[in-house]
Amino acid sequence: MSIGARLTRSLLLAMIPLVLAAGVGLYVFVHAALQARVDDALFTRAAALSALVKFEAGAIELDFTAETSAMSRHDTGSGHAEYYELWTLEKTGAKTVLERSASLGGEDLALPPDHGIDSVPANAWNGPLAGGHEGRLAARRFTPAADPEAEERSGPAIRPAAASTPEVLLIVAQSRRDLDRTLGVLGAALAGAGAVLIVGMTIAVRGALSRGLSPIADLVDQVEAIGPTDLTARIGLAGTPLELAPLALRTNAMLDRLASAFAREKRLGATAAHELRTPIAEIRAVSELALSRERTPGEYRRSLSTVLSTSVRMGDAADAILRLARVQSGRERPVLEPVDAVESLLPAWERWISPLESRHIRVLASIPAGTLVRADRAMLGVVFDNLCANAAEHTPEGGEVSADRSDANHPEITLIITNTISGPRGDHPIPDGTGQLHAGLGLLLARSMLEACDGSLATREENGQFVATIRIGPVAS
Amino acid sequence: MRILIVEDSNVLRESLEQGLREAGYAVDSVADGRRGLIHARTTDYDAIVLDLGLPELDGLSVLRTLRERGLLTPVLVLTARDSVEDRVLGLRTGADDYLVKPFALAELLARVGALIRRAKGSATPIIRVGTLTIDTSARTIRVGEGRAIELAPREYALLEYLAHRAGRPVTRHELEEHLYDDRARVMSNAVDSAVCALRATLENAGCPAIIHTRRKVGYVLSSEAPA
Repeated sequence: MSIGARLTRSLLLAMIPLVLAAGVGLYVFVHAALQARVDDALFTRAAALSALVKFEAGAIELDFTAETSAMSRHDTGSGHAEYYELWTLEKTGAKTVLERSASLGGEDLALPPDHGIDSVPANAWNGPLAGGHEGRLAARRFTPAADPEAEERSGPAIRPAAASTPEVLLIVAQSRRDLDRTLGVLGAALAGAGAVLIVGMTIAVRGALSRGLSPIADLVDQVEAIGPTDLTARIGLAGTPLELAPLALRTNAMLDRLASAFAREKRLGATAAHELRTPIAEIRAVSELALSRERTPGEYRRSLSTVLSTSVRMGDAADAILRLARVQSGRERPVLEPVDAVESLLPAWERWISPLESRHIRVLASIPAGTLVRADRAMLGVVFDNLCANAAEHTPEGGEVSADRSDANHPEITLIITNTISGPRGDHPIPDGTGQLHAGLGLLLARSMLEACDGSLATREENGQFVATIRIGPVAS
Repeated sequence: MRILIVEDSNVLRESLEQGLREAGYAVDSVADGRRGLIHARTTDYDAIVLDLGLPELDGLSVLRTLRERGLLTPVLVLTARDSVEDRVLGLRTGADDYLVKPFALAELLARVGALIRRAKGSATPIIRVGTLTIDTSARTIRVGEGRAIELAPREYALLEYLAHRAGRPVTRHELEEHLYDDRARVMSNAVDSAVCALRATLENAGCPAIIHTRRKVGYVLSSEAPA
């Protein structure tokens, strides 16, 4: 499942319950508010009617003429009819209907099932009305007030009065039809609005996520465009959001390292192939030639001698390749310490360069004694050994080999080993992909070891000379 | 046939040189690309065996320069680089064949022979001139249905060279250039002596006279007598 789909689902799962809760809450609030208004009206009505009930001349007198004009008819379905019923409560517990609205059609208004005359509910309740539809009812139990002016009047009482003022129970009611219709419309409106809101939210969330995730999609497209064999492609940083920029930068850096590692591996492979295949070819050619016909003992001896020396050289090459692989993979780590460059150079110089004087090759060394560099002593010895061997191999008779120190305009110590080469190479560079000349295994090993010691080796050819420049850190003062 | 070897490994170069010489070729060899280029441009070789990893000037640059200057000498590239890209690059640069080190000496000889044969316009290793049959792959000759005739390497090389140009006159200088390498001390009448010896050998084997002298020109190999 895509990130967009996951986020859409998560957001909707979080938001839909909120929308539903808000809708239900709003419905409940409006329902309660509207019902409270109805209840208030009922109790107001009950209070008004109660005020019209008087006790005079030992009888209860009613004067509902004006108030009941609106209640005097049956509810015909309009929902606007109102109802009342008035009982007198005898001390014996009996109750007698004194009056009821004409809208009741002779039926009674009942108290809630769990309430009686002694426990009249303080709040309104729902109950059946005449005609079978639901209504809202409220009750009030009270003692009618005495009418002081009644003694002065001579009019007859409506009912014979008891010895003391009896209590009266008044139940008023109103149809719920309007209220229920309003609440139904409200519920439907809320449900519709909720559905529209959810659909709208889904579309909006998907659109917003699609726009928000587009940089990730772009990044994925760019990464997908990087083929398994093509390490030249890089992720463009223009327009990349801040959050993704580190990822793009790290990926590009990783690709740089991969490309560099592949190039190094390719160089190592080519060099290793040359250094190993060539001696194998030599051994095979010498052997096949020796066996192709009968030879003299001297010829066989020469062939065997060649095979032996080539085998030893091949063993040295294999050792160098293995060591190069260890250095490049970081398994052989340098121990950096102060090393006297002259002391380190001397064994290689005496082994390879000093004997060249017998071949009429001029040898010059002018590195000052006490030149301290920060390097691995053993690795620096291997570096000098390879550079000196290379110089000894390629310097023609009558040429020159020199070792100097030149730190001009450079913070590191610079040692230069120069040797004459046999002649101009012409206009064609060596296409080994390294940009380096004489890029044999020895130089490759020397370069890797210097890099491991935080130094560098650069080689160039100019004016008939091969120049190897070593840069390496000085000992901190 | 004269071959140039350009190989920086002394052991390999000397072994190839000896192997090719023993197979009857005249061989010159150099150890770097610059001298290889000079030799290839100044001598008409029948084939060049060229290493790619060379000092001074690498093999691909030598090859590219030769082809750019219109030199069509067949080149067998000899290298330690064995990837498909390297082979394709070598062949596209102008190599006629590619042999990866290490290799069998017999294979190198066979490939050099095939290169020379193709360069002379012959798809088959068999050359027939009259009753004479020359198998350039087995390096044997027969007269009619007779048995194979033993020839000295130089005599065989001379006959094969003339056979590749059968019917056409070949100058003494051309023969000298293709039959003798830089190490050979060539006397002024060396070619004439070699032709004389070859004629005698063929005549002893019952072959009619097919090497004819063109006065002031050279020799021509033909089953028909000159007019």
